[in-house]
Amino acid sequence: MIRFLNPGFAWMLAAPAAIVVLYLLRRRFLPQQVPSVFLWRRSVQDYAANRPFQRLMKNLLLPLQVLATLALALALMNPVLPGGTAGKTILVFDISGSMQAECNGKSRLELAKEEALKRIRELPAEEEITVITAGDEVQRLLLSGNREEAEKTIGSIACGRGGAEIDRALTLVWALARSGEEEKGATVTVFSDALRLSEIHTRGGRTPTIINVGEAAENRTVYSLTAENGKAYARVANFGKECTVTLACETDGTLCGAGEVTIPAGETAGVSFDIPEEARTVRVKIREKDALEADNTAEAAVKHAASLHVAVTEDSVFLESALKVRPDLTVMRTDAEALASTEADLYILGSDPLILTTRIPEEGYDPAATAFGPFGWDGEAKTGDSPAAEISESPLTTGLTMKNVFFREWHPVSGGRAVLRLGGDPVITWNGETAILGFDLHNTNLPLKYDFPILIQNILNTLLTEEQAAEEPAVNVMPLGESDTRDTAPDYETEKTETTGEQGRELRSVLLILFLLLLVAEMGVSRYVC
Amino acid sequence: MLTDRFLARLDALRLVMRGRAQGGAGGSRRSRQTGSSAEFSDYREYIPGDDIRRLDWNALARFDRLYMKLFMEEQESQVMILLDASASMEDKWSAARSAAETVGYLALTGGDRLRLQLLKDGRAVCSPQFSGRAAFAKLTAFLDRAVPDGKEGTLTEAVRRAESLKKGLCFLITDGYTEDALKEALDYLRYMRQETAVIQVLSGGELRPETEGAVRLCDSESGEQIDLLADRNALESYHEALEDFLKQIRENCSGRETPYLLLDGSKAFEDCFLPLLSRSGMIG
Repeated sequence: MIRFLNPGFAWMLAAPAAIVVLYLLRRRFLPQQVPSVFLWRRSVQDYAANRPFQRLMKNLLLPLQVLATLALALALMNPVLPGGTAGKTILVFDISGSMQAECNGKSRLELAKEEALKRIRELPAEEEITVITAGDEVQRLLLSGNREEAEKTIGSIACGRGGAEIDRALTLVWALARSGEEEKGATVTVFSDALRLSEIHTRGGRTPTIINVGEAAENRTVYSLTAENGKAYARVANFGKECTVTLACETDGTLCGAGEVTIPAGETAGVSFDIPEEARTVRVKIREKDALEADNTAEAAVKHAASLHVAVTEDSVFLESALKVRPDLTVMRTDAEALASTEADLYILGSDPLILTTRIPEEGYDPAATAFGPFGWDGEAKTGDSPAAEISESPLTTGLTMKNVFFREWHPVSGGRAVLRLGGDPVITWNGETAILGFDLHNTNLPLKYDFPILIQNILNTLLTEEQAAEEPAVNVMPLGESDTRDTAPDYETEKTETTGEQGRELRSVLLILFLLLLVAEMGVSRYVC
Repeated sequence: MLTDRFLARLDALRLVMRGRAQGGAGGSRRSRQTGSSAEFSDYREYIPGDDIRRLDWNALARFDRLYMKLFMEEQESQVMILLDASASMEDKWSAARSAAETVGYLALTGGDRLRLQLLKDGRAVCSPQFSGRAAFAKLTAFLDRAVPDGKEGTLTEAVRRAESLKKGLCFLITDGYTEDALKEALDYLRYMRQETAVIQVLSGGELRPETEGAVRLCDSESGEQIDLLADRNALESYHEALEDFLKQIRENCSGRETPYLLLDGSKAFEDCFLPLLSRSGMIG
């Protein structure tokens, strides 16, 4: 289907009609009395009989002028035909839980798919299309496929229940966009429901097109739920206006309590329930219906056995994913100031660098410091294309290959034993109590590799002793950190960027040439007639 | 109105007729008829060209003026003026009327009987017969009352309804707008034994139109309208049509040995008409 890049010039399409009207109004015949039209009648007959082309030329003037004006109007509207120079298109789909929210009978993900399919159909046939989903994990579903493959892939996308790792997805996107020996332009479009350009990581001035789908809606979610020692603790997040919600608590399928809580807009609130000691499972549900009911219920197993507690000061979905592998871990959220009063088996501190330790030093933890116990690092990170990672044999590196792992920024770390180096700089070091990762997980593709969960498990296994391991694995807990759902009141300012690849065949130059030809023809005919 | 000066010039001229007169009372034209005697009938003043053998020398000696002797065998001729009085003649009526007066004066001073018929609305309005120099005033008065306002019928129909067409001279004064370029009218007059002469009168606007732009031409006679873009090509085409039309009339006239002249109604009548008459052979 033809698109118009400058539809604002559509008003010029009225110009041909104006020409026709002027043509009709132009001929005002002034009456003039003559003795006889005898000779004029004869002359007109001769005129018409001997000059057939004259009448033809006169009849050509109006259509020539109309066509010329039409060509100019269309040229200014800059129509684009599908087709043209093929390039790269990368589509990123937010498949977080909030994309299940329905709007007019369709979920946000369905709306996103429809929009994506519409765009795909306007692409050149040879366009290379990559499809990536951003949920709890980033998955590349299609790499450089054609339109047909892209349509099938998009049709198969389903929503998750977790958050959306858009930044991670874009890291992958920029890596894919820059492939081969030279950097090729690629058009990146992110389909989400409440994403702002300011929230995502751009690279080198290249920004994606963000398409936010769906409508604003009220949504509350049971953010987290834990239960142990006769108590169930639920945290509820409100992504809409201030409201009061009613929570029902069930243990082993039996209602055991209810409570109301008022939550300010954009805030969370905690509620606790008394549960029977012998209860094995607990379920908390928000009674009121909202835009996304899927996140209104949370379930958890009641912890009866001791488990390892891990306290984290910063949210990191990369870590959460890695820690999920250990069902015997209970992850708690804390902050630097509360560390002293937080009892945990393992502390995961900061993010750049990332500190995993079983013991907080006496001097405590200062997020701004460049030292932690015997370890130290430079305040300024090194940047650029990292050299290949060199691993040393140690308990932390068991099973690691570190192949095709790149780092954008890293801090050389001193102290402890180095197990991973970059260009000779130690970036992962450890001792019996602490392991330091001298980089932000966002500045590397390590979390996307299988090496990462293996590394984390190795660190946990090394820092946590066997006595501290739980006998029974606990039920998976509700992950902390980023909520399951996004704000369901999306901002509809779709921030578009310049596409870096040609899409569609512009007809402007053809129409301008046609306009000029028609203009010359009209001038020639006009001179001949007059 | 013809000026006295112009009329004085006309006194020296006579209408020319190829045939012999057939009339009643004495006129200036030769008749085939011969009298039973060469009985003297009358005098008239000498006109250059007259036969000097008939000069009255006695009158010359007595009055010191030249007089011609008229005998019984010289008879009057009839002169008929058919004047087109249709509406199309309005803008050249002055020239056409002057032409009719001139011919009428020549006829009256030449001793001819004169009738004038106005051709309009497909019929002919006939004047009384005029005779003698004194009748010129009556002729003028008759023309004063004539109005060119005929809108019905054709010139040919009006000619065919002309009355009292006896053998003689006939002057058809018209703009000539007939589909057959006066062919049928001339044939009819010839059939009626008229020695016909055609005086075609056209106005300056018809001979040299200055129409330009988008105009709606309205025929003053029929009311017919023609929308026209009077550009250069249209005017060229008009001139071509005019030339063709005049050529047709000339050919029709010459083919019937009919003297013809084209009078431009926009020019000064008294300056241009006599030379035209002379060149056409209508006067001598």
